[in-house]
Amino acid sequence: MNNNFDTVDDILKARQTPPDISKDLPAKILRAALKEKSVPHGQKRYIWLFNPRSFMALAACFALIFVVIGGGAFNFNPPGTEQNTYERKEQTTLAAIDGSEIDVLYYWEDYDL
Amino acid sequence: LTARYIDMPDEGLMALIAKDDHQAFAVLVERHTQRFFNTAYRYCPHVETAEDIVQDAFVKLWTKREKWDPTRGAKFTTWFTRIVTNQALDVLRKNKPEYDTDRIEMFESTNTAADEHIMHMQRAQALEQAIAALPDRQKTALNLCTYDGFSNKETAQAMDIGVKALESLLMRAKQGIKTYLMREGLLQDKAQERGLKTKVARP
Repeated sequence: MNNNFDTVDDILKARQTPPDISKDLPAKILRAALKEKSVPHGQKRYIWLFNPRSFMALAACFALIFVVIGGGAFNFNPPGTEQNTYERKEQTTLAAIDGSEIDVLYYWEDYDL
Repeated sequence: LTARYIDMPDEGLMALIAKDDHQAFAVLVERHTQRFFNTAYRYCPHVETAEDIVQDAFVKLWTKREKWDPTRGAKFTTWFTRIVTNQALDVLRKNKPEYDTDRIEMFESTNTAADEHIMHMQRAQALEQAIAALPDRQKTALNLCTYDGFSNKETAQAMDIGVKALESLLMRAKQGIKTYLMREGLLQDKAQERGLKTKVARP
């Protein structure tokens, strides 16, 4: 028996033919196609960003990011400002033991923590 | 189904499908399922996988039916072969091909002698493996020209390349298969064989 083919073309011709399809395959394809949603003619197509649902989701994400980052950045009473630290001076006169008067100057420095 | 649909050419059916005519789609599916199954099977020699490929391709055709452009003058079979081929190549990239071993055994059992059985199996497997090992474009060129009955011009059109480029792909594909089969011992180099005989014939 000749175990070898003569040419590549002989080998290619000897390739097995594919089997027959299942009898119900065409019906299965039609059922699958009917189930599949398609965009009917005339219906508006959106780029994903301008799809109302995508747009709302994106806006919600931005709002959340703004709140989280912005909450830290906007400190309405930053340290060192007039609103936060203030100095109060008050002068009072106390009577000394010997009867003389002593002027005392009090300072308050308050920090609004 | 009316005779009007059955006698209609593929391109006419596609024009009706583009207008949401499901009956035209049914006729097209009935007419071409086996043909495109054969195309898919040559890439993925596994019945269920090939059937899934054809089903997905037809579903894609239905959902994107408005993409068919009759003004381009392309034949339906050429256009749809490209869809099926791309679908099959996608499946091949994602999964390793499975072979229907049951079918190979059935093929063998039709022969009588045991050594012939083995040889048939080796040939069938070696050829499938040699084709599977080819680059995608060479594989497509070979399948369309040799098995799908496409002319060189139609294959070039389906692959969106020139005829010269297609011929080059075919030549390289055959050379690749030859090299593979020679390595497997299923094909002998004729030139080398002639050379050996000449040497032996010398006094």
